[in-house]
Amino acid sequence: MKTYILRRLLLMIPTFFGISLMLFLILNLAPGRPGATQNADLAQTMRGEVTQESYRIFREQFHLDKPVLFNTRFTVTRAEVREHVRDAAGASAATAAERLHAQETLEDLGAYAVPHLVALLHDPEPKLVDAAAYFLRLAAIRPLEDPFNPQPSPALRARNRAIDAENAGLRLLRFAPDDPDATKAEVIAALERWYREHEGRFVYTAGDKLRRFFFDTRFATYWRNLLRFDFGVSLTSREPVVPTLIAKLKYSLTLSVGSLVLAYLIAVPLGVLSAVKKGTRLDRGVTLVLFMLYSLPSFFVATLSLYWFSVGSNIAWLRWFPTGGWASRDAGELTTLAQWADIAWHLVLPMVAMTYGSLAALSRYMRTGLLDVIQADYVRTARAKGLSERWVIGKHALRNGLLPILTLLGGLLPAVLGGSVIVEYIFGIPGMGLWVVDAINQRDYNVILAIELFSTILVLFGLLLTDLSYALVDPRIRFE
Amino acid sequence: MRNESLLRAVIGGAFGLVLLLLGVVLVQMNHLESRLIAQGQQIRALGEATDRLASRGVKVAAAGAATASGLDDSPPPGVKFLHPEVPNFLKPADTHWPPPGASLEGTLIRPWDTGDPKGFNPLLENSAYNTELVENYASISLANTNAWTNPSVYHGELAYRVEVTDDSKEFTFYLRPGARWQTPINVNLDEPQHAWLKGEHPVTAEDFVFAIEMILNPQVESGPNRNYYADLESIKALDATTLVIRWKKKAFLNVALSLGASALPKFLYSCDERGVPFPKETLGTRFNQHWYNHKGLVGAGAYYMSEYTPGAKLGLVRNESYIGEKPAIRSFVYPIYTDPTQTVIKLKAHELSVGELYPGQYREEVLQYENKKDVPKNSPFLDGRITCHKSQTSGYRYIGWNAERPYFADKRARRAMTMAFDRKRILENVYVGLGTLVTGPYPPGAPYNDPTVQPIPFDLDGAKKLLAEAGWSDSDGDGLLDKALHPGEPRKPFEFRFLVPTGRKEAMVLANILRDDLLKIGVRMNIDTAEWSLFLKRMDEKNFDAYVAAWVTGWEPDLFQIWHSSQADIPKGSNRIGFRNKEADKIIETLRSTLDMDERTKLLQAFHRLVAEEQPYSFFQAPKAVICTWKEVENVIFSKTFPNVNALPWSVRAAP
Repeated sequence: MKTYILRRLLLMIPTFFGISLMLFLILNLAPGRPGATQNADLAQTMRGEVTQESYRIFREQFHLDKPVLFNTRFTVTRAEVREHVRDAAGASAATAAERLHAQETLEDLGAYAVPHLVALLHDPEPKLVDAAAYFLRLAAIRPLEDPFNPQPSPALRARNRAIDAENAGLRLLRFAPDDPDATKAEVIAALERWYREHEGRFVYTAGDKLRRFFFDTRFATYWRNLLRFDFGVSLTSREPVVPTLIAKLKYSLTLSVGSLVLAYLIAVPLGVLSAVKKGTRLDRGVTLVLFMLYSLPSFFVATLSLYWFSVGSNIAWLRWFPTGGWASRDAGELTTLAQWADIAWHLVLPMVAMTYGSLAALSRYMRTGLLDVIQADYVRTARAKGLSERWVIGKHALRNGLLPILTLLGGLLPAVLGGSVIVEYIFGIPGMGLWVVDAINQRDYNVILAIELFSTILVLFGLLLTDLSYALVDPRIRFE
Repeated sequence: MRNESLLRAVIGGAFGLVLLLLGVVLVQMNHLESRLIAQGQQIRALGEATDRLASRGVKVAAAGAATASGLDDSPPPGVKFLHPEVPNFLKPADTHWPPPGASLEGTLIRPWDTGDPKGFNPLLENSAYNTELVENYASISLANTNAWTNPSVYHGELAYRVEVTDDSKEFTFYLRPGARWQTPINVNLDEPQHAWLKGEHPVTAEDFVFAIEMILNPQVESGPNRNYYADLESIKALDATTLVIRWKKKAFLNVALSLGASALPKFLYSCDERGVPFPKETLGTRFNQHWYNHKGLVGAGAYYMSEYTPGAKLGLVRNESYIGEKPAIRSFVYPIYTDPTQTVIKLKAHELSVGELYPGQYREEVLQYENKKDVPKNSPFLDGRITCHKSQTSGYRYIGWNAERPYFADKRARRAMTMAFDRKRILENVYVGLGTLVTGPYPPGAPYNDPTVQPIPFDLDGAKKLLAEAGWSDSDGDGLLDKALHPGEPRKPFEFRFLVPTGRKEAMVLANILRDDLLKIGVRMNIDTAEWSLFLKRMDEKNFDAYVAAWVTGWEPDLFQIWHSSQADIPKGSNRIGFRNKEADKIIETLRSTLDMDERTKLLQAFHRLVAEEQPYSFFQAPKAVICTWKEVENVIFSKTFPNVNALPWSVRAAP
């Protein structure tokens, strides 16, 4: 048994790695990109537009300028760079979309494009020279080393100061397209001087190339951080992901565990009733009602329950519950006990909206499970002993009949974490479900990955627990 | 057997006893806690009283500074004006608060229906809610516009005198002393590592310098703001209360940028969580992810942010030590939720004291019962407990025609499109009258609208005639107009794609009506929808024939960004329809360096005539928002510029 558990645990590591690779690839290859702003009103403010420059800084900070899995950028040729520069400068027949793409490609290439851009400074096409100087200035700027180090060593500070000074100097090397040729020539000469001084930086040995091929990528950077248990910060709010996740867990966990308990409390007795009264009108009635509930979409029921049973209801005597939220506005002024009561009062409608749909399936499981057992020999024996029907069902049959729906619990573990998007949205509960949908809409890779990896771990452990619970329940199953 | 039942009884009894005791303890704890809370409230009330007493002194001092400023031009003691010969650029404020007799204890509850804010750093976050509901009240500027009367005139906020010299290139500001930054919130100040945050931090000229330095820092993600400061020559704090901003050239935009500059608390944003200043070289990067960014906003305005509980609420409280006029409303509370359609129930439940209704909701709750007998009882919308105001917003909806597509290159074709666009009917029926028809890019009522510009009538025959003039005719009898788009090419039917962002019901109906009307004159329009981020991407790539959207503008929009031909050539530029007009370029360029208001009005009117003639857009309407307020909210007036719902002059009767 022990070796089995150990083997399963060890097997989790490559599985986890594989899943993270898949998730990472799917995320990064999906259309859309992080940083595009959402706007609810079809209106745009002129100030609010994300300009190309902010977006470039954004990509740099979150390593989105790096290739996803493998880095082959050191193989970029002069002709390719020239083609991109031509497109970006508008010197070719490229469409606006192609121009944008060329511009972003050049910005992403960064240092890898430097030698080629230097060569383009003497291109016969004047438009290309202007553009090459522009992109060279951007590509030459180096990111700071470890800028978030809270206690930078003197050596690190000295290095960063040098980088900062060099960057500041480079930023000055600019000219406008209509500047006189003499000014342009001066700037170009300065750029070339800079390149000759630092030429060594752009020559890659075979070892460099190999290292860069595997490690100068988004995936490698992400995993480097992951190994230090660093899930990064949200791309939109810049908050560290893990503390937010834990804060959100409070809401989702209460809601989902609560509704799970509620569902079992209602579904089990109903299932037992159906099983005992199998085929009667009562059984059929319960089934019918439960399946009707099952087929009502939860967004419909949730909205309707708010319109009917909340304080804002048009019907005066039905104003029982608050109009959503987790707690009252002034809950901070209440005693702990009153706060709990307040939260419970707020959770009635969301809990109902989350629970009613799962009753049908659960009670069916219970019913079938119990029916199987009722036909078993030992139940017949119990009856034959002359025990009362209540005793037979409650003591002998129910225990074994419960097994199938208890093992179901293991599989529900990740769902508990996932939260319910619809219920959270409509009732304004700031849980996981809302967070993940928001993150997906904003392409907030770090948040999506953190949530998915957490639920991956939960699924892996949930599966293990389910398997182990079989062994515990049924002594015939042995893991060796 | 008996032993066993005895054992059971004993165990059961013990269990019951424990439960009972637990219950008693819980009740007692609850009692104790409620007494503690009540005591806390008393203590806080006492503190507030002293606060108010103390602030009365400040108020007198501030009033003194105000008389020394706008009205007479002699410097306060100890201050020497650098250019005493120049008149003060600031004018007195037109709108004053609190309104006479208004309660000073009210609380205004407004929705925050976009979910948790992404952060509060004013340089990095420019979501409408942050600007409107937090920065508008909490941050402190040099000067503000007279937003309720004439938004092109400035009155001082922190500055009491502004000298504009050297051909409008140099702005010298004299600041009132006595403004202080609030104490940061959501931080435990009792922890030794946060001790540095305690104490008073005055607002000085350095804080304005710091704000602009951060905007200009190449590592800070404030790209859109940075572009505006390309012409900045220098910004210097001569001492704590004197600030000089110098520009390389004279430009109209520089007035707004100089006078409207906001301060940023340098003591906070230049340090890490333990109060250690960031090394200069990493300051920009650290600023983007500053530890305080998502905790709150440290301000010094008329209100300060007093609480933020993610997922629950955000609160502002009147700043009793504010240096200007103190507003009537004591506090703002913004419950945070995510489904904007819930605003209407929350309003009905009186969980909000003010909220905005969508056109559809307005129709359902109010309009459909107008002049009807059987109205539902109990609805506060109908029995006078809630009043709905229609507030004019600054901005406009429009249809943009891509001038780089052969169909719309000809201004006659664009004019024909406007003629076939039944603006009045759509405004009345689809937008339930919530808007004002416009013929140009300015807010209705602004003096820049040329009164001679007549709206183009809805006229399908006229449209057909115009298209015929432009060379369109139905040569093959299929009911669609056609034309050889380039000489020598086969004739092609007039058929184009109309881009609508998904999920905008009204825009979709608008598109359908336009499609039907166009088909009547032989033009086939195919409706194309795109999710908002994709919509923006297609705008950036200029990948569209025509689209419907809206601009949110200021009182006096900067025409350069949307209309100058240079903006049509840069990728992602806002002149996405490719409007290129030499005369327009000239007007826009002259406007940029003209500061005289009469001169500007003339030029802006000339531009209005020009776009009305060229029809690069089919200008549609300036939306009106339905703002509903509960009866305790009084003195409701709306500002002429964003944010139109600005509660500074409002008051709220406090609950008895």
